[in-house]
Amino acid sequence: MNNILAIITGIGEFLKLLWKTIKCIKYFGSTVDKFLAQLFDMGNRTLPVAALISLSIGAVLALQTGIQLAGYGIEDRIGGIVGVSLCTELAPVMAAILMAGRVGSSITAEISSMTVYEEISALKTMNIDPVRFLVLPRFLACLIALPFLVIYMDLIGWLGGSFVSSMNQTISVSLSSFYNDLSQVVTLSDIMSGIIKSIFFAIAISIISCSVGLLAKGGPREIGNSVTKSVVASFISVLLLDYFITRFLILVGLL
Amino acid sequence: MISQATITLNNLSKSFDGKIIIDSMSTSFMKNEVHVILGKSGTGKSVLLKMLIGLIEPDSGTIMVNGENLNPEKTAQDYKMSYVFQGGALLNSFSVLDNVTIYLDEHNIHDKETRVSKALKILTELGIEDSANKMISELSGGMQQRVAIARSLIIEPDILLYDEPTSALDPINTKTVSQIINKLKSERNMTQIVVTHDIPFSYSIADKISILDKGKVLLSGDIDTIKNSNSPILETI
Repeated sequence: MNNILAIITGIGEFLKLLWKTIKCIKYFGSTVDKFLAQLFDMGNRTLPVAALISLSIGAVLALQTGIQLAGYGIEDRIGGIVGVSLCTELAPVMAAILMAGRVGSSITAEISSMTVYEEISALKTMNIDPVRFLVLPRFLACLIALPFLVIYMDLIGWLGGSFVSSMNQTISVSLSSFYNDLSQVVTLSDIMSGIIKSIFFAIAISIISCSVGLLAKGGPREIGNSVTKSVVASFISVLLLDYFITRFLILVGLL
Repeated sequence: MISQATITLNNLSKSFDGKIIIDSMSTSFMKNEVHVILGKSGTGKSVLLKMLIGLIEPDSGTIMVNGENLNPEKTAQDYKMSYVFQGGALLNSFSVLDNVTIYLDEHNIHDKETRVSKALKILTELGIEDSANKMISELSGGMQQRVAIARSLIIEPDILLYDEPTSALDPINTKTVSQIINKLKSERNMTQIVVTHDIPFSYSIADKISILDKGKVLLSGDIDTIKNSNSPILETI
């Protein structure tokens, strides 16, 4: 019963903070420097790991699928399969998980520490809105960074898949055949569907991370608890959103 | 000269989860005086201070500032009130100068040059101008407390509230803070309300001391009144 109540309260706090953040967008001009700093920080934290993950996923996907396809003599279709799988599902979900783990956790740690050590209260006494000062730049940076991260992971994943497909002796599909099939199969709506998903994931991750941080109560131990809470909530939200957005995209014919 | 009350509390009460923290408190804080609120931990001192600045809303009772009911729609700056937090509550990712100018920066008051010169003037007044470009983490606890005071002074307050300003300080830094409070009293004519559990520190700064226990003012008066009261509560603080 307590868990259900906590989930309902959490959703309520999420929506409240989301609404407050949207209302603050008009102040974007005064937070450009903070937004750019956040964007730079997010890129710094995620790009190297994202490259490693997407290269590995693309390579493993090509290896496992390619060998199966080779058994049926249709290994030349590997480009399309790797291409679609990555841009519609794997890249957006993996990018979101990475964003929640690397960036969301750090946002929660920073904001919950500010809450516990009364820095947020200090801002309030100076009539500085913590939503405008802290949440808005992180929200917008995440909203911009995640779709770009997805495109970046698409490209690197395709690269990994194409290298393995061309170098593996069983699959042995040339780079030109791989990209030829990929370009015939992958449509703009496939790429867009991944980007649409990432926008919703970015909203969920940034607002959950900030909300949990702002609601931290108690002493320094609460900082660690808040980070765990925020990462778990972000992961669950990403997975749930992924299912419902996919259903919606199928319904509207984007997938 | 008759002192005017800057802040008047009437039957102020606050409870958390059914536990009474402030119990029908009525008292006044006079203009230009240093009023120390002395009490053990958990007696509601910080809660009282947070109600004065508007961070916590009272359950009942009224707070009057300069004869006007405290309006939650108005900001602390409208009442020219500022707050020095326990431990400073400074933004660690900012430099000393950025912490001091944050209020002016965020509200776009003055041009950048004026903001910096105002901040440097205050930092010089508090003897920490050399640390202006340092990060907060590079400073000692005493220096951080002085930066917190500098940040509060940038709004040119008439009323300055301090929450346990010496709780994490050694005797030398405690003496520095008491010197700053006395300097502000003589040079700026501010009303200063200081919450503490440090009796010697309170004797070094106070015009008036109120002893708080279980959410009520148990004893109130000047230093001599408190010293001569032989109140057993002083032994427990």
